[in-house]
Amino acid sequence: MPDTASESLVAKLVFAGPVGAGKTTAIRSVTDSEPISTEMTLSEPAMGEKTTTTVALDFSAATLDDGTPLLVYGLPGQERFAHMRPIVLEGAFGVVVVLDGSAIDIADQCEHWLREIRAHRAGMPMVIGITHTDAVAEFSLGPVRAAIRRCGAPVPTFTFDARDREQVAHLVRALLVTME
Amino acid sequence: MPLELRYAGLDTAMEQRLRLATQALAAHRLQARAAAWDGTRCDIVAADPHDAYGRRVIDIARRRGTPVLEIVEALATVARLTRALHDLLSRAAPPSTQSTATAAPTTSASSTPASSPLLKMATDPTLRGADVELRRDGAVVWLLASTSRVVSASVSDRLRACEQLASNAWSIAAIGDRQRSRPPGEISASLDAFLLMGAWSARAHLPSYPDDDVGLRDWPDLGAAGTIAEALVVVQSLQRFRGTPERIAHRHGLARADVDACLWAFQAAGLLDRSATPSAVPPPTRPGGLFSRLAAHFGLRVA
Repeated sequence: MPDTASESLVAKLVFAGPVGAGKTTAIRSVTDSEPISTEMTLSEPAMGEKTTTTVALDFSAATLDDGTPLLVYGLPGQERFAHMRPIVLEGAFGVVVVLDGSAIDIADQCEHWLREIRAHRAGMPMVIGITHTDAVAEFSLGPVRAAIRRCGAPVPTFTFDARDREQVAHLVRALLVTME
Repeated sequence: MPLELRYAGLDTAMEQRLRLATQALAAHRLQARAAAWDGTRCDIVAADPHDAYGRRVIDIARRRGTPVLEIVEALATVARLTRALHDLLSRAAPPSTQSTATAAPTTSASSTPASSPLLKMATDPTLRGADVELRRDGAVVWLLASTSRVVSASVSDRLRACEQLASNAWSIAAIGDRQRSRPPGEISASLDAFLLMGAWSARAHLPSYPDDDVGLRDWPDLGAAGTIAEALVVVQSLQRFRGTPERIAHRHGLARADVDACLWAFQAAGLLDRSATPSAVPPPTRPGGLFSRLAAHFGLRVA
């Protein structure tokens, strides 16, 4: 955790999750400027309409009412960039884990990311946002909830539209409520 | 109230003839108006079965139980169209019945009827936590506790069911095994948010939630209920402490009716657990004064 002095100067929020889940879109929805992304053409077959992916990290910012900058980072989803995660997570007040609701292995992904982040900091406040549920008629929240229970403490888990600023903001509200 | 006709897949000339035929229904003492198909509920659909879009609309209308007039060559004149529309409407429910049903009030009563879908789901042991079907005037909405999703043929059906969740407007029944392979549509959304929004809009008329100690194991899926930040506080309280509605309201400075609405919704979703024990995990360290600034930025009221 950052010390009190540095907390008052800057706030840091991190979006994490697998490739193609919608992290960059969610960051774009909740910040004041277009994210600075290190986007590269996908080397593997395209995922739906997605032809690029984030390598290294995304970054964008918003300004709180008193002028405090809110720095928003997106972790790269690929495992080969796992070494970046502790660096990006350092000093964050919370993490929004974005999962793809159309992924067959969503429960495994959920468990993986919860454990990954808690391995870095056990008490890190987290919320889970699930995208693309409208694309899967048979989507069920049950397996995700079961995965969260396997990982220990409850985590707010919402389905949401990453393009909708209000829905992304509601995820962050849930994150803040867990810190009350 | 005039009958609403929607058309799809027609060329401009046929659209004009259909509009004239709709006006000509006045000769049969039927008031009707025609407009292009927009996906909302209507009284009759006219579409060309030889057109791909027309076929799609016909399919949707039939699934909703809306009368369909297939526009074929034999109906190329205004007179024939008028006769076909009149015959179809005569076979369907009488217009007076239709207009009365759609005009039914939502929750104008001073208290919510026990037979409303919300309270039945919350209190009837055979429906609590079960997959159920709501029905009204041919509209069907499935509330699937097993997947935490609500499924309907259109967004308008879902919104209407949500608005009227605490009234007697919709019938409710458990979904049978034979029905499961035939869902009402492909539009799906969060069941928990649906129930919360339905209960919230009727909270002034809901009965008080019993003074029982309750807890929650899982977070309800409230991503689509962003206007109800109070629910987040209620959920977090239930995760951390077991409590009665009165204690929760007092602890967080919430109105009792707000807490009751949340609890009725969570119980209807099958999420409340009287045996749940609070999380043993201590709350994370709150980042001092930064918290209140973040809360203000994201629209969270801090008690």
